[in-house]
Amino acid sequence: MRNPVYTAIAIGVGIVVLLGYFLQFDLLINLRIILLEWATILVATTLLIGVVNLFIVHWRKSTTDQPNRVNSIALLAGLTITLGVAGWFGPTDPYSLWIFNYILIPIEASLMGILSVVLIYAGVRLLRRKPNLLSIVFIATAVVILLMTGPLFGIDIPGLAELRIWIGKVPAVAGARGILLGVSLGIIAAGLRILMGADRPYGGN
Amino acid sequence: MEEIYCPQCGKTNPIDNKFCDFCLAHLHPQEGGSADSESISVPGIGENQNGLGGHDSDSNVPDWLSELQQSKEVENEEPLDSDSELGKPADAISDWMTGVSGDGEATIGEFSPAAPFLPDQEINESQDIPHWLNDALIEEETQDLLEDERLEEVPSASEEKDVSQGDSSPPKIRDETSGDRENAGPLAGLKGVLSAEPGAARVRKPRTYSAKLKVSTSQRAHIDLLNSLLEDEGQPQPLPQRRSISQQHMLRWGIALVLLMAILWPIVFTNQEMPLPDYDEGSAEVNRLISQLPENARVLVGFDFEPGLAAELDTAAKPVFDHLLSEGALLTLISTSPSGPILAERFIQSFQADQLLIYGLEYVNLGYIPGGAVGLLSFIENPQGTIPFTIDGLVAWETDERNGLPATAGISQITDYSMIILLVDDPDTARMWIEQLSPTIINPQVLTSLVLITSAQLEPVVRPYYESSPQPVNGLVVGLRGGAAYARISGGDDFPGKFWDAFGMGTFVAALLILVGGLGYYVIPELSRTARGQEKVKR
Repeated sequence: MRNPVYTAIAIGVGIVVLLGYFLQFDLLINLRIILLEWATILVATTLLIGVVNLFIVHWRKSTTDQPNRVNSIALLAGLTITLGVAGWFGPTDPYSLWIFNYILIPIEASLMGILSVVLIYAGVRLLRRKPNLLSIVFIATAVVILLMTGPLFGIDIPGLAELRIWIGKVPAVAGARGILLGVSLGIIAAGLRILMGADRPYGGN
Repeated sequence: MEEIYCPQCGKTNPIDNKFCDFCLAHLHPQEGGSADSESISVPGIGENQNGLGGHDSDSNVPDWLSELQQSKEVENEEPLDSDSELGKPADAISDWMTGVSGDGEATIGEFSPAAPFLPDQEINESQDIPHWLNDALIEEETQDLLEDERLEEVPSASEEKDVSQGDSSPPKIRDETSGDRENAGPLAGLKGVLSAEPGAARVRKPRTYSAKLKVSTSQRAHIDLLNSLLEDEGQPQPLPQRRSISQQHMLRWGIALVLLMAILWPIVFTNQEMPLPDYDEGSAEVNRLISQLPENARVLVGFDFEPGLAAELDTAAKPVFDHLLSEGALLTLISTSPSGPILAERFIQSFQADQLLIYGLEYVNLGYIPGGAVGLLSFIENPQGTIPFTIDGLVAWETDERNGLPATAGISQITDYSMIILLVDDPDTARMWIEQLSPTIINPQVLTSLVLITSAQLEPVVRPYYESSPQPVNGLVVGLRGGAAYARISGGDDFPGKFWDAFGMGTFVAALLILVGGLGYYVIPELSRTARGQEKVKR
């Protein structure tokens, strides 16, 4: 049984926010601002709920005899320490920044470094099995962009810099525009479906 | 002992039998004269009719029928008139015969049950035959003629059987016009009774097929092969031992080592060997916009990137912020990512060595806007209501009741900022900012400009916004190259040359590895294949 209350609330709020774009009535604008602030508070609350849920799940995993419970214990330790330091000293305190600078950033930067090695390895092996036109074009484009993005020891290869600019402005931008248009159309369609009640991601199936 | 199959029930009978022991049907095809000369002989009636031949009641007539005949002979000593010829005997015989002679006008001699169904017998149209019966007769005639033709063309199963048994005589089909008298069964004594078609109702023994599977030699060979394969599948095979160090491992480690050395070499041994890029259009536009900012201009800065890309974005943004702070801009830091406020604080801390930035006076950190696009829209619509406090819990905005921080003084809406700078590495986040801000800032009366400092991977996604008209994005600094170009344009010589050299060496070596490695992987197998082919030709 579909709950008409959920549907009415969702459609009503959506229409009010949408109309606020087009109609400059004070009542409508104020109502729209209030609704947006409520949504912001709700999302912040869900973030807190998510953190609590994450803590509970990994607490259960760490207290029961499960494989990889060490990972859960490490996660709980990291969460507790970070929360304690940032909560006690403040998020901009040097202690909090120390955790950020010397733990979080190096870990993520290491992942990016590994990613670069893996991508080069994949590029090397791409021509190993039955190279075709697309794979050759892919490799050639990657090599041109890599060479001309960097300084290349100050060497100016005629035509290569122009080719890099052309690739960046024409084929790449054309593909990106197509993606953006597709995304926009998809968002419009999804918004209309929600406004008409065809999609009900808020529940009340 | 020879046996014969009954054409009616299909059971076997001795060949001497005339009738079936089981169903009393004729075992041999009947042959007789024409039905024209004889009329149907009904027990008890035939003797009273002129022209009706008498029959031998002693031989085949049952007792009950003989008694009935005798009683009728006594009753009918006087001749009957024509009207009553059928009436009385019919009453005495049975009800079904009464139904047949209902009108009382037709005589028994004229009535012949077999006559209307005989194809070669003319139907007297003077008789009062119903229209439906006439049609049925014509249809019956047509079917019989077609069946006769078919029987002549196609040998029946009985003919095939006869041929196989050496009997060359054609099958004998009973002549239904013969009018033979029935000798048994409930129709005993009647002539011209339609009998079942010998061929149609014949029940034969079903053919028997051998249940043994006929397998040829080749099929047997395939079966043996399949069996051997299945048996091999059931046998456990020893797993091949994995090499502790495979060729792929060596290649990966080799690539990592070469890349690491290429990046470390400029950092350790050289300094600013590679020239900075001359000009970049997007960076130049950002430089122009910052140069035109008024004194103590309020600038909103969004930090929306992940810590993994902090090195690239920090380095690219540093010359821009050097220029910005030198112009006396007051910064408001904000983020839609949970790690963004810490990244912003960390970035500002990197300037503290060169110039002291006082929190609240020259910059303020508003922290994190939850809710993604909704939260961002809320902030754009109503900054003071959405984020009323700073990350440290201070009142961020100036109101009628209390004073706010100097860095945010005079800001009541988003268009009060002179510039919005966004540091971003994710295409969705960049699109979210641009699309939520565009309706507000794309206005001839609004002087707020939007500038993006992005990772190099994001250039194709954000460039369409920069090159469109009207411009949602007014300036664009892309990656280390954009930052280096900005440093060169602004005249700042503090761009970290070690990073730039390492970046240049790293990209060059990466391109070289892909090129050389790819060609090697493609050429070496081709050469070995050609060599093997030549060896085969020599052999």
